[in-house]
Amino acid sequence: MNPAGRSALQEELTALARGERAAFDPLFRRLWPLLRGFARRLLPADEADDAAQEALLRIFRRASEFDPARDALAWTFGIAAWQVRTHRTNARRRREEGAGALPEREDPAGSPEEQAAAGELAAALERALVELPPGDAATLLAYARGERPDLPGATFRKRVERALGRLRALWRIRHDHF
Amino acid sequence: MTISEISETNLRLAARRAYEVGRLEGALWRGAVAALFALPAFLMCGRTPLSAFCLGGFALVVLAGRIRGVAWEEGAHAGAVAGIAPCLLPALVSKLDPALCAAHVAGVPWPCALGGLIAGAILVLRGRTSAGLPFWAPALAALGFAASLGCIPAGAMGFAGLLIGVLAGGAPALVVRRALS
Repeated sequence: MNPAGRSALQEELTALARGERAAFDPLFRRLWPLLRGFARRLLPADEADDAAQEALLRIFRRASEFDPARDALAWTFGIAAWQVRTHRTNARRRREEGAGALPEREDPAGSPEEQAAAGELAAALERALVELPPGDAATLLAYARGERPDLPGATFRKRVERALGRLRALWRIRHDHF
Repeated sequence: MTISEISETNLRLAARRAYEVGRLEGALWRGAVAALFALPAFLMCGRTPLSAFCLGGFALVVLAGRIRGVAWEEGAHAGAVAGIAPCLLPALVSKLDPALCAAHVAGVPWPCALGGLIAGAILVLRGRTSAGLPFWAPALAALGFAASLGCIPAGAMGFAGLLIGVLAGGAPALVVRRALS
């Protein structure tokens, strides 16, 4: 800013601090590009305008407190710098909170390796069930689904144990490596 | 009108609103401080409805002066500063020596006259003759409300003493000021 502009800023801000509303428009026209340029040097373009607007509103809100003995440009940039820093801190906090609010969701299907292993296991189990006597397979499927055939409880438990024993035996033969 | 012009217009309105809100906040704060300064006079020298009116009026003049700004603010400020002496002196006297207070109420209202003397001198020295009504109206209103708070217990004699004091203090101050300028 050239000395003339700086001097004009001092006069306008002093006048506004005294309550001269006529100084508002020229001060607004002088401050807005100044603050926007300042914020654009310190922040990414998409955030700079927001920060500049916040700084502008804060400066006008505090304009009545301005002490004419102070340098208007330094006072203005002091507020703007504080606002830019606040904006930066808030943006970082929002990003951190955003990351914290979305914890890594466990994929119910698991990792691709786990999905492949589960698929292989299901296929092996299916083949083993096919090789079992139909009665044993039906008993195990009913047990797995939580169904209770029209049988006494003790009889059904014995049939389940017997079918599981045969399945284990068959499994050992077919899948020694498991 | 382009989008950027519209947004700049909105921003200008928001900035103007922010300025007025800031000014109002400052005015409320000043009004509260003014009331706090005058509160001892209200508490010590008769808590009458008239005293309450003067207390409220004093705070309101300071508040309005700050909102309006420029000469109105300067006038209210000068009147408030000048009014402190006649506001608090009678209250201080009644607190330090009740016998003096009784004399002040019954006989010669010298605390009011002395307070008026100081107020008149301060007001003239701080005054701006060029500012006219915007300066003098709030100045005299603030001084009147503040001084009345202190001199209400002394009645009509108190106000007479106050007026004589203001004139007696203001006249020499005016002469000195003109001689210096």
